[in-house]
Amino acid sequence: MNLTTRRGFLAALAGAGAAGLSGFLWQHEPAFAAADSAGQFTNRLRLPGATGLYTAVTAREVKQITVSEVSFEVLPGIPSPFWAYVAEVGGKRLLNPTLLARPGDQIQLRMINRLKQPTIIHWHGLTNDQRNDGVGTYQVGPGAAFDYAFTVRDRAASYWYHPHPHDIAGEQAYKGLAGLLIVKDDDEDVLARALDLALGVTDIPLVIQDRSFNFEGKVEYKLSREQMFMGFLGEAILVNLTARPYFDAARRIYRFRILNGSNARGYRLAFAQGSRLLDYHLIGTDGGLLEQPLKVRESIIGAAQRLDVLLDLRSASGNEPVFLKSLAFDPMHNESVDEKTGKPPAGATQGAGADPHAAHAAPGAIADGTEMPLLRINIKSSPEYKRQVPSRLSRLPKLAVAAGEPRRLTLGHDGKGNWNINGWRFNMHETPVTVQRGARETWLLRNNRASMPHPIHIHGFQFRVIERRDSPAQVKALATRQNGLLPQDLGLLDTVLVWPGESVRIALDFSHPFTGDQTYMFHCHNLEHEDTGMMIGYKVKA
Amino acid sequence: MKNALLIVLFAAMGAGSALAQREPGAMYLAQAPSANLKTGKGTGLIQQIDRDKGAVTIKHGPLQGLDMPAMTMSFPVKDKAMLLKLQPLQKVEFELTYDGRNYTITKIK
Repeated sequence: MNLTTRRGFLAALAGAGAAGLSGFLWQHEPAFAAADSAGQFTNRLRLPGATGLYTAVTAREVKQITVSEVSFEVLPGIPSPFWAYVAEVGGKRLLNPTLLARPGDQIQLRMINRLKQPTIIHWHGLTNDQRNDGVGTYQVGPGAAFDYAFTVRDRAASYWYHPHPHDIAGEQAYKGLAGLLIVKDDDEDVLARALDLALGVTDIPLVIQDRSFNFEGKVEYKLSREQMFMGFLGEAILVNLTARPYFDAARRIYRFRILNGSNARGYRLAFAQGSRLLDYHLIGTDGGLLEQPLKVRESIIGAAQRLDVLLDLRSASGNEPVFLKSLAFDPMHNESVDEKTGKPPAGATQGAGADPHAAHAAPGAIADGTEMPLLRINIKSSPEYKRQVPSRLSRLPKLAVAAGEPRRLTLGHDGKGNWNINGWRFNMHETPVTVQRGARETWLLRNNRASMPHPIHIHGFQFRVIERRDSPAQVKALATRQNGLLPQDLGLLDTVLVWPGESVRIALDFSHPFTGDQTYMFHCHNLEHEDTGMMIGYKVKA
Repeated sequence: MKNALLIVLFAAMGAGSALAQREPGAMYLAQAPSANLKTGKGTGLIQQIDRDKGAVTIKHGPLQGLDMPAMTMSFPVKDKAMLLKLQPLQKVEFELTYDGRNYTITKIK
């Protein structure tokens, strides 16, 4: 076999994407884990600035968003095709602007699609009628426009907007389409004053996404059928579209609004100084502030989820940098285990069934669950800061749990490479679930053992988690004493991560002001799962 | 059918793993060193840097002069000092030699 042929053979095998084949020619040892050396994190973290990426702008001022392909240097000095939400405000051209609003604000804007494929913007986490929710049912083709008009009805929180066309949401989000919509209210104002916080300075959005690049350094999205089944795992982790980022900080309290904007990857987030993990406070979730801060050392965040945290850098010792890290965890890619026993199939000595926890990844990709630093925080000398984390933050709506049996929804796959919910796969014209407007329901989300973690997102209504059962040990280890709930389960959510073998009970209140029947979606926010059918339409009957 | 495919794939993977355990750039030992040193050049994106071993992993395009298609591969460098200014995810142009046994990067920027 000559060299080229043999190489081709190996590359073909690796390209086949079969579980466990990663790293034929090269096994990715996370480049950044080898040394938390200063030299590895040399790019200043991108922050909402006066112009360009992520600029904060009042949502009411934005009258038009053009969905466009632009040229953007994701990696320094390397222009790459990049898809962006482009807004022109006050003579400035903004990419993926951070939209600011307050409850009650009226937002009216026109989306113009300049892509060569259909798209639609989904306002993730907001309570909207079906049309303004923005899903594939309303997607518009190239050159077409779509007018949004809605009122912000939800609590203050870090929401986000991203594409939701049928079958291609993953590709579009991956190529750049995602922005934050930050809603503020009086509680937020009190907190900002108490801690002297300013957006983009000491109140920092952190959008964590993984990406792969071709050999020219351009963003690349090419997935095999098998990779679609697992979800995209990239070769590099970006924070605010910054590779190997650093951030210069003062010795004071910072607020980090963390969005896991990755297509499929989860993170176990901690702040570390050397080998020491720093305490931090969880203060909010998808749906806004908790009632009181919760001291934690680590939090797992699934795709599409948000965590709002306070880090007090006065607890760091000396000037050694602090790293935002993802700690190692078991990614539980257990899709091939025996459903009854939870163990690999009998006789499996190697291959997909041999290691049920194997973090399947394409060649070169960082395996899911890998320990890695994400952001270096340099501690600089600064004036004395005497503020303290407040003991109260906000009030959550009273939790009202429906009586009676829950609606059962089982997450699984058909053994042929298709994820489903209760055996259903997405059909634009079907709504297998109907609920009554104004009704309260409990949904029991049960993930099969032969599965992988699924971040389940429900459109139209935020919800509360009321119980976790049969959680894996690594989740139980983080649980509070209350019904197995995680700290972030104590807030309002629009997306909940459900682990293999786990059952999660959530409480929903289907009250809303919209007349007429409304159709929404719930789906796995592993975007490759969503795109391949792990999504269900449900009807709210008026 | 699927199992059969996996067996074939993993049998092949065993061979691949053995290859992968060798030193960077020494994956193709079947060919003896040649007096005819070949030279090539290419562009790529740095994936990893091993300063101790003096090797750099590059996702590269087709290598001119060496009949090598685009792939990701670890290469030793002629001098470890060449690695000092390199960073992961940096786009580089590089030149290398192939003596029939090993690839060695001679220039990289």
